[in-house]
Amino acid sequence: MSTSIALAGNPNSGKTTLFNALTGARQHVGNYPGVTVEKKQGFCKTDSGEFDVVDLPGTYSLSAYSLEEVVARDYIVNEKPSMIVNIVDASNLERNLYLSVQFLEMGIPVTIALNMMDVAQKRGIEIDIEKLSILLGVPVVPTVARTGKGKKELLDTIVLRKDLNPEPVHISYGSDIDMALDQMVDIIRSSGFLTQKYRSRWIALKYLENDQQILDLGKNENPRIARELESIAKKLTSHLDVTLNAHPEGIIADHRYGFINSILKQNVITFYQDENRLQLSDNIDKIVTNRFLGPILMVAVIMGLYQFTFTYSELPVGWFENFFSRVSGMADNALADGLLKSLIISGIIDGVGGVLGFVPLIMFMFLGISFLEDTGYLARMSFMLDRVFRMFGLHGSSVMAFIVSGGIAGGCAVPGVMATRTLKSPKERLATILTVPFMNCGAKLPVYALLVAAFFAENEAQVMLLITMISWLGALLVAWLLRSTVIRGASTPFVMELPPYRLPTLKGLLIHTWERTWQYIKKAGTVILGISILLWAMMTFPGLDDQALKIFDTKRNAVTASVSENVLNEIRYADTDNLSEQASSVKERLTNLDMEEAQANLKNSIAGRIGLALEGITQFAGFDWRTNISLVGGFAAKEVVVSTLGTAYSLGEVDPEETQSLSERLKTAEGWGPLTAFSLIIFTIFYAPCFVAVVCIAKETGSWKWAVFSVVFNTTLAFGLSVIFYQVGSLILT
Amino acid sequence: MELFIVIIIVAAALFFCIKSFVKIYKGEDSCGCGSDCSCPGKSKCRQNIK
Repeated sequence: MSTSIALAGNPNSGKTTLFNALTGARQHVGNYPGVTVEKKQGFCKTDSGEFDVVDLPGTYSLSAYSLEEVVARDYIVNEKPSMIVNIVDASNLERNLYLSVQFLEMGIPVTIALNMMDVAQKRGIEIDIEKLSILLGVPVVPTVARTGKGKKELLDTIVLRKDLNPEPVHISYGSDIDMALDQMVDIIRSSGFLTQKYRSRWIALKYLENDQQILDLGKNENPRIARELESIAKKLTSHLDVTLNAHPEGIIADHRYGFINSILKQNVITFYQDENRLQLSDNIDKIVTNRFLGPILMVAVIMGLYQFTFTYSELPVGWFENFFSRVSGMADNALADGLLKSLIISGIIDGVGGVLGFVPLIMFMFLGISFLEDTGYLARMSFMLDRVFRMFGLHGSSVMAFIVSGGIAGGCAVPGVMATRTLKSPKERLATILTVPFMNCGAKLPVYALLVAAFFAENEAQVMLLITMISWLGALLVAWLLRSTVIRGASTPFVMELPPYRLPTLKGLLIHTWERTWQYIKKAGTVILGISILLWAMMTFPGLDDQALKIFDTKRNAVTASVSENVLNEIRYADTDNLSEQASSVKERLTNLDMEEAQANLKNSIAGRIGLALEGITQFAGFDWRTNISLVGGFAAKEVVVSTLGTAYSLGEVDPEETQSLSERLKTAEGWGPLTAFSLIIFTIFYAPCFVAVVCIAKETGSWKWAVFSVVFNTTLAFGLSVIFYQVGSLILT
Repeated sequence: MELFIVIIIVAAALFFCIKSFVKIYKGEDSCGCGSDCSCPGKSKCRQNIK
């Protein structure tokens, strides 16, 4: 039978890295706090035994203050794992042990994994592990999760200690609190109040800490006892307020830190270098997070990232485009004219190929982002942007949600919306949820890449930087608007933990890059492929009626009847480059007729009719009916904008020799230019989130009202901005 | 025959898309936007890696 273990610890203490090391999984690890919002499960089979491993969200305490704390605590209490592995950052021992002490107070089996021992050693910190273990009364195993060091020893210890039922640690909180605790414990014990799940002293402590979850549970369990306990807690709170001008929560926290200090001061921890010396990270931060230099450096870093991405991906993107063009040409030669050929070339190759063509660009972008993330620079960005965010009514924790959603480019709004769970104020959380979809997620990237490559090839990185700035500014202004109107409320304070800088390993970077790129490829080959086929069908059926087809046939017959059989044979059999003047002219007229028919067929299709119906309004933003079809498709997933444009422009082509890439087609297409392209970029930044993000917004806000709001409001805003841009731009340029 | 094959492919695509969206809606599948845990379901966001 397998042993269930739960990994718990402070954010950024290395839980997910240890989870990956134990299970062989490749869960995403970020060098910033709050990567794990939900718990993750894995399995580990070693010589020591079999283990069911759960990675809990990072928490600083076990109060029910934030959602992660509730998730972690509920799991421990309800699922009762055989062992809690408390991952403790050895380089930040005092702060990390605060959570450990709370586990000890719960009286549950705990093993401490003293992680990041290598970092602690580099910082000149020496820890007497044996002494720490004796003083805490739990096993302590040194580990370096990044390299897997200590993994075996940890599992062996878990197997040895899993059946032991430890006694809870009792910390003295001073005479006032201790007296109240004793009184409450008596009541709890005698009535069996919530004792099936929790230890009596722990319940009493939670009442003093004003833990809402326990207070609610208590009211349901036994309202009379609950009132009695609340009354004791209230009396104590008033007493402490008068005598010490403090709240019980504050005094409890102070005493817990006192308990930790009393342990550490018994020669458990030694600084064999100057304790106060500035660490390398601090020195770097003096420049990187400097009030004046920091923002300049941040813009330069983002600009450098885009420059790197576009410069190095240009060649491989060209190869991919050529590859898909050749495949398209080959399919054209191999298949007989008809619906199947059209489906394969226009629906599949030109649709999905348009999205897959950007794989190298996505890969380079993800490589750069993984580097920034793994070094710890993204956390610095959050720190610097916190000041700005507060000006717009958002919270410091909102920054990470923005970055996860694609703040630089290449994230996803869904985990971004989920990352807002770290925000404690419901109003700040709602404002963040409603604005994170404005960030440039990985799905919007191919749309930008396509348009930027086609119309702004000379200044690709600069235009991408501009897109980033527009999306951030738009998101902040919308947040400010929402916070000043529909979701008004006070701001809450924010303390940001800056993780130390780390040099990313090449293997780590490659794994992160590949994981994200693979997700992109997988999506293109599954959901995007499915939607492309459906949109192809919508762009093909019902087709032209017999009367319309007859008109085109009559026109064709009129052209062919006007020339001799020799000319027709020349068109059929001779090389295109060697045609006589007359044959060339006839061929051109026939091709134009075929193109007219293809266009008429496309316009008459279901999607074409929708696109045309919308054109009356969207023309003010510069969008034609084909762009409208792609934007409607983009509601399902943003990559569909590219695949649909690929299909729409491919269906309009009739020349078998025509195997241009989509960006080349757009460059020469009627109605397209830099103004239209940028208007479309603006619309893409702001318009409705994709289907999955909308579902996520509904689930996270607990109401479809806000999900519908984000669709309607965002689309209206996007259209308004695009119209303003296009109309003003047209006025200036004409 | 050609029309029949095309209808089968389109029907399969429709079925696959509906199935994918239902799974995403229920929180049983991720959107796959280049991130790890991206299922919107609150209670079902578990990744069993066995």
